[in-house]
Amino acid sequence: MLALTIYVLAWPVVVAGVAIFIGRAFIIEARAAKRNGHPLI
Amino acid sequence: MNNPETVGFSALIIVLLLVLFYGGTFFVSTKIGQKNENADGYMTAGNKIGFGISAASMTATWIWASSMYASAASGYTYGISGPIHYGLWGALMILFIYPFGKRIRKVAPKAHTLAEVMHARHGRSSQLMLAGSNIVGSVISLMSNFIAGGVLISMLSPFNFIQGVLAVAGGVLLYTLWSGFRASVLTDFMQVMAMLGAVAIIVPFIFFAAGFPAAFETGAGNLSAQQSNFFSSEAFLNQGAPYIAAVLAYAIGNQTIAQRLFAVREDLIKPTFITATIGYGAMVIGVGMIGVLALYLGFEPTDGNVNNIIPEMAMSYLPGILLALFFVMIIGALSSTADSDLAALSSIMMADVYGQNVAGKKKANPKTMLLVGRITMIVATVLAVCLASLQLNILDLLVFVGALWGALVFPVLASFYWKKVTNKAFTAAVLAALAVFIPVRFDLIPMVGFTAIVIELLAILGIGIVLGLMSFGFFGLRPALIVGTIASLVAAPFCFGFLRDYTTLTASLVAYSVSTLICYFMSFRSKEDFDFAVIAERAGDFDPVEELISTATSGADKTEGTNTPKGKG
Repeated sequence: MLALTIYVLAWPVVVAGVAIFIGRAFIIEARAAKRNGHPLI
Repeated sequence: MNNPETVGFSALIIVLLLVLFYGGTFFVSTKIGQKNENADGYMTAGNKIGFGISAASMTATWIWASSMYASAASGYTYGISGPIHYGLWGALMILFIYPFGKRIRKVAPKAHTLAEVMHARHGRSSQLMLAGSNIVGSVISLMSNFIAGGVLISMLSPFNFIQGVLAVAGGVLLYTLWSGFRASVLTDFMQVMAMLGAVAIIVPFIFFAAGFPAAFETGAGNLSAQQSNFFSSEAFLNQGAPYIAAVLAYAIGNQTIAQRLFAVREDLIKPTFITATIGYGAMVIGVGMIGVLALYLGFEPTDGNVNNIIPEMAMSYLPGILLALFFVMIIGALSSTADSDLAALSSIMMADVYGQNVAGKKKANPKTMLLVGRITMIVATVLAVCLASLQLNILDLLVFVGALWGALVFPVLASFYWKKVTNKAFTAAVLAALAVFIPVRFDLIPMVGFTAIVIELLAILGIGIVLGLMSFGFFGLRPALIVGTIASLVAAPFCFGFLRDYTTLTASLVAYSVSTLICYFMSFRSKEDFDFAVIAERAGDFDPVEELISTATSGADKTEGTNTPKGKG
C-alpha cells in the first residue's frame, strides 16, 4: 500500500519540481533581457 | 459502485474562466506584438529563444488534451502500469530525438520547417510529402483539440458542444494570429506553468478525497491479475509497443516539434529536450494515475467512454475552485497544442508553399509571406471548426498520417547523415512503405501462410530498425547496427506466429522496415555525394538583413547585443 501510494504521488512531486525549474529559468532570462534591453522573444 | 455526485459550473462562471484564460493570453501576446512583424520571426522567432521559454514550449506542445485522456484511459484499462506505457515512451521519444535535432540544426541553422530542409536536400517531392503530411496532421490535431474543448465545456456547463468549440477556436486564434510562433511559445510558457501547477495539486487532492490509500485495499478486487502487475505483458503489447513505434514517427515528422528545434538557441537544444522529457513524462503519467485510481474505485465512466474518466473524476472529487483549476489545465493543454498547430501550418504555407514553390526563395516577399501565414491560420481554424462540428471519426486518418511519418523516419534521418541518399530513393521508399502499410493495417490481406511470415519478418526487421535508430543518435553507426541486429534476432523467435494478431503494431513496424530497405538499396550504390553545407545556404532567412536588424532593435532601445543575423540564405 505504501509502495502504491508513493508510486501515485511521486509524479505530482516531480511535476512541481519541473515547474519550479522552468519558472526559475524564465525569470532569470526575463531579468537578463530587461537588463540588457533585449526583447525576451 | 455508484459514482459520487458531480458538480459543474454556471454559464457565468465558465464565461469568466474563458475570458480570464484567453483574455490573459491575448494580453500577454500583445506585449510582444510588433507593428511590423517579420516573416522569420513569425515562423521561428529569430532562432534564439532561451531555455525557460523553449523548455516550456516543447513540453506544452507535446502535451495535448488527448495525452491526458489517453494516459488515464490506459491506467483504467491496463492497470497500474498503464500510464507508464503511455507517458514514459512518449517522454523518452523527446529524449531520443534530441541528438538528431542537434544534427538537423547544425546542417540547417536558419531553417523554418523540416520540409524546407528536405527541399534543400532533395527537391520538391520529398518536401511536399513532409509538408502534406504535416498539413493533414496539424488540421486533425487542431480539430481534435477543438473537439476536446467543446466536449469539456458542454460537460461542465450549460453551453453546448458547438458553442464550446467556437469559444476555444476563437480564443486560440485571437492570441496567435498577429505574432504567430512568437505568441505561441510565449503563451506556452504560461499555459505549461498552469498545467504543471494544476497536476501537482489536483492528483494528490483526488487521491485523498477518494479515500486512498485505504482504497488500494478495498478496491484491489476490481483489478485483474494483469492490471495488478507492474510488468503486465498485455499493457506492453497493446499500449506500450505500438506507441513506441508510432511516437518516434510523430516526434521526427511533426512540424510543431521541428519548429521549436529551429527556434531554440543552438547551445540550449540538449537541456531543452531533457527538461521537456521529464516534464512531459511526469505530467502525463501523473494525470494517468487518475485512471488507475478510478479502476481501484470501480468508477464507471458515462456510456463506458474512457475519455470521460478524467472530467468525471474531477467533477466527482474536486471542489469548485479546484475544478476551475482543472478546467484551466485542460484548456491550457489543448490551446497550447492548437496554437502550435496554427503556427506550424502557417510556417508550412509561408516557407514551403509560397516561399519555395510559388514565389521562389529569392523572389519571396516577406510581407506577402506574413499575409499568407495569417490567412492560413484563419482558414485552418474555420476548417477545423467545421470538421469538429461534424464529429467525424478521425482514427483512420490519424493512423494514415502516423504511418506516413513512420515511413518518412529513416529516409529523413538518413538524408542528414548519408551523402548517397537521393530524391528518387527517398520518394520510392516512402511510397513503397505506405503501399505495404495500408493493406496490413486495415486487414486487406489475409495474415496467414507465407504472406504472414513475410510480413512478420519485415516487422521483426522494423523492431531492429526502431531500436537501431534510437541508438544511432547517441552512439553512432556501429553500436546502432549491433543493437538493431541483436534486437531483431532476440525478437524473432517470439514474433513469428505472434505479430500477425497485432496488426496495429505490425503495420507500423513494416512501414519502418520497408522504407529503410528501399531507401538503403536504392542509395548505397548511387554516385550522389551531397555537400551538406549547401543546405544552410538554401534554407535561410527570408527577411532582408536590414529589416531583421531593425525589428530586433525596435523593441529594445537599440542597445548593445543586437541580434544581427550572421548569414542570409
